[in-house]
Amino acid sequence: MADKIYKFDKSFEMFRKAVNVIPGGIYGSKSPNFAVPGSFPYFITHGKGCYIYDVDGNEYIDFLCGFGTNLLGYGYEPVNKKVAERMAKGEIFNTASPEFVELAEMLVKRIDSMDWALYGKNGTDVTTFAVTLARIETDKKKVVMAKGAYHGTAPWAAPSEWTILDEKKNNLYFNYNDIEGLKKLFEKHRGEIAAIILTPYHHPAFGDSIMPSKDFYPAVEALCKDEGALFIMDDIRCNFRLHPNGSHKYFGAHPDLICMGKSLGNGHPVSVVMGTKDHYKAATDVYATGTFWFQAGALVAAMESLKEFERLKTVDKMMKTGKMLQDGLASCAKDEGLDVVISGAPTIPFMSFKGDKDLYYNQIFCSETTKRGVYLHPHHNWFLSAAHTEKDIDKALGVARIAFKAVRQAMGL
Amino acid sequence: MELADLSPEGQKILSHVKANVVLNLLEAVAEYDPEAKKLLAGKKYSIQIMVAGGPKVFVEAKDGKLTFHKGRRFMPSLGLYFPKPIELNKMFSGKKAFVFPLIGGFKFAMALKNFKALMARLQYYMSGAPEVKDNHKAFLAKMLTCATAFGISEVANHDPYVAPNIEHMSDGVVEVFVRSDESIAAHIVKQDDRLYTHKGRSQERSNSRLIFKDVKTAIAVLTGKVNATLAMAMTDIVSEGNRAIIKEVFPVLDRLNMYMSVK
Repeated sequence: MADKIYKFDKSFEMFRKAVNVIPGGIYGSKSPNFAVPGSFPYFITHGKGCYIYDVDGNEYIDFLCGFGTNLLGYGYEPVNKKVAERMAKGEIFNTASPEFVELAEMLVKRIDSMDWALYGKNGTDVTTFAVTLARIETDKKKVVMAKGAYHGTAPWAAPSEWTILDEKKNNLYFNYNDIEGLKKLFEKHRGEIAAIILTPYHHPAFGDSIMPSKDFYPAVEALCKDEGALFIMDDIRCNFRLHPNGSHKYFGAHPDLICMGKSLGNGHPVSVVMGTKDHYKAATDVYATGTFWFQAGALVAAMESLKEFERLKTVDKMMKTGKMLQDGLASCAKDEGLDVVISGAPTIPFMSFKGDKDLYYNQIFCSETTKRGVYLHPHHNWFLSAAHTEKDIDKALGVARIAFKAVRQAMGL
Repeated sequence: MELADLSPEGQKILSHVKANVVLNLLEAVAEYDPEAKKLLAGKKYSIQIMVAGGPKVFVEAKDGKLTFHKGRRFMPSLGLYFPKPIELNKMFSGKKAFVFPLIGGFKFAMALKNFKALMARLQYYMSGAPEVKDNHKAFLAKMLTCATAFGISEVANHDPYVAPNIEHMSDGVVEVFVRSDESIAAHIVKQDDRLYTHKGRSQERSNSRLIFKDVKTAIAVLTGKVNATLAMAMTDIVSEGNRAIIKEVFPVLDRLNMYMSVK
């Protein structure tokens, strides 16, 4: 695999067709421009385990996992079989299906300190619900978030800037882990803050991940208590990759609301906002629905995935392979005389080159690995799945060695 | 959109774009065109352009060269005062405009005649005539790159529509150049909530690079004949480095295209 450089002729051909009928060809985070055009596939046909296959027939060990969704691996039979059975009986009805309750009970039992659950389809559905709930309950508008954090595509959170969409005017930003800055923000806007929304740790696009300092969550919780603001944990990306009972448990945090999605259904579309009983009433006051939010198959997928996460002890497994990847990359880089920054949890790692804040070398490194069958994103954190084996990590590191040599050459070393 | 349909605010923004882009292009023509060089030989003068509530820029002819500058010049040979931004926009669109000439010295007549002759040379290169397209491809690409880069700064610095993008953009340098001919280059510096465009590649390491594969691609994309998204996906344009900065430049470019399409 390491000697073959992939070509993307069919991806190119399909993209030419796409731009004629789809704005931007492929939009958002799946756009070719979010990675490195020419070095990454644009269209994927299928996946199995931790492997994906593109329209040109190229095979990759995938470290993006469909942006985190496929925690158990692609085409995971025990989940898909149950979903298929449910689909055969119909999925969308005039009202909820029994799975609607069963999953909520399972989640309440599983996710630490949470008492209720409300479903959506995507992360944006539930982060927007959580923020709306906080505003209604507190009768305040402002929402605090870390600079560079991603909380969805709704106008209040979207990364794009438009004058006419002024929902962001109620957002207040602070530098992650800057407790003093956060205190000043709360002081300045006393009586105005409805909520703080935080990812379990800071994992911005285009940058290294940052873990919370030991004083961070106690400070956040004290400020929220003092202000009467809600603490929302946006666990969409990390969920079930840090702790089986929720990422807040991993960090010892005590949020009022938790948003989860991505891996929850192992690739099937389901997200959830959960909350403590104190916020149950407000949750009933927010009118929430979506045509497909009650889709039984996705709820089944979540239930079956939760069972498998527990049975396979997926967090432990991924922590082990993730650590192997992180250590291996650091070691391979060192062998080439390169200084890399390994950040994030082993299950959701990221790597950059020291001093390369614009990610020029990440773009070279990830292009070189991906063209050789190891899909690593240059601008977005990576994901381990439970399907990655030690053998897969070894193969990936073999390709990484070649990519490090290319970086070294580009640096003129 | 017709020029007359543009709001007063839009006229003001367009006047900044036109004054800066056109006169920068004139400088480029003076440097490239043999006819222009002949016209400038032995000439020494300056022309100040002032727009009420709009741009203040000037050109200076000296030592066989014509240079463009922002701001005011002390005692120009000739001043051209436009009482409203729309008047400058009319003039640079080849329409009849209301302008007050402010005579600054005995060279004013020569300066005006020479300036008009140089503008005619610029018109020739911008005419889209087949002979220009066939024989001056690289220069055409250079003009388009220059016009785009300078236009971006003007829109960014004056159009409130893109203010959130500029506010959101981190400080740094974005380079735009053609891989096969790096003399076709410009770089934009974001600093203190403003953009500043300079010709050529950056002396310091840029934070981001937008690279056209070749002259043909640059012309096709910058004249709107090829979809830029497609060109990037096909690697005819390559984006390197800090994507977050580039991402905020694209809405400004879209806005520039809107202004440039005003007839």
